[in-house]
Amino acid sequence: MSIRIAAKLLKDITEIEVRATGPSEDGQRADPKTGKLIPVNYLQQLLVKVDGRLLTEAHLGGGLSANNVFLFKARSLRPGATITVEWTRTEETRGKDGRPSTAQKTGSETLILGK
Amino acid sequence: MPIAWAALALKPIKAMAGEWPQALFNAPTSQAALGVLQASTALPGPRILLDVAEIVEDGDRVLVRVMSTLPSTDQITLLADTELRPVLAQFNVSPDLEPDITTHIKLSGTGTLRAVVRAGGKIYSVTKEVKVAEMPWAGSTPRSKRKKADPS
Repeated sequence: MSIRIAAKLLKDITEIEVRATGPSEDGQRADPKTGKLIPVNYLQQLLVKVDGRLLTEAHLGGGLSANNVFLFKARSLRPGATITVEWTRTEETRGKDGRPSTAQKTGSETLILGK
Repeated sequence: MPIAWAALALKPIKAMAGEWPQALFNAPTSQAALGVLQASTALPGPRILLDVAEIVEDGDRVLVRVMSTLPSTDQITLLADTELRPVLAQFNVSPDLEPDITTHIKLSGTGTLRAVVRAGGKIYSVTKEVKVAEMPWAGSTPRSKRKKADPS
């Protein structure tokens, strides 16, 4: 799982591209080889911030594509602005007793605009 | 189950910032999800663009763009009516962000894609039919033909 940010400063709009590498399994799909359900593993949340201000809070489900690419358009950003993307991924794991439980993994990525 | 969902649908749910709207994403049908969104009587949205190909070859990766030119757009929700879990994503949009978002979704078959937009306290909804073409020469098994696992 990794997130990469790219940004393009256009006239009044800044295009922010967020590339999220990793699976997107909603836990409903079977492995064609084993016939067993593939455990839940998907990107659940993205917070896109500029200089600490929230641009968008995206709640996501397992119905989005694996290795997804998101494109957002921000208004009036200046060179030097700090773009931060905080992500949360939800993953199902099985404990020693074989019982499934879900855990959240989080991380963040930063890009300074126009440098 | 339908009774429980009806009760849920009537309860106005406003997710707190940072909180994943579980009731919305767990909705088993689009109708239930629209109830959670209080969009059962949504207005038509002539100022909303839901841009997606009419026919796609790869249902695992469908490019979707939603753009709203309605003033004070603050929330965009994407749904696919025919999926087991219809709610795909919900974007809360701040005034500093253009309500113009592009992402990729999975579609297990031909169906209706829906964007629900909240703007100025009103709910709008637009739909678009998407055909998932089956390409027997494409190699991988289409999602619609994949075997369902026994959930036990």
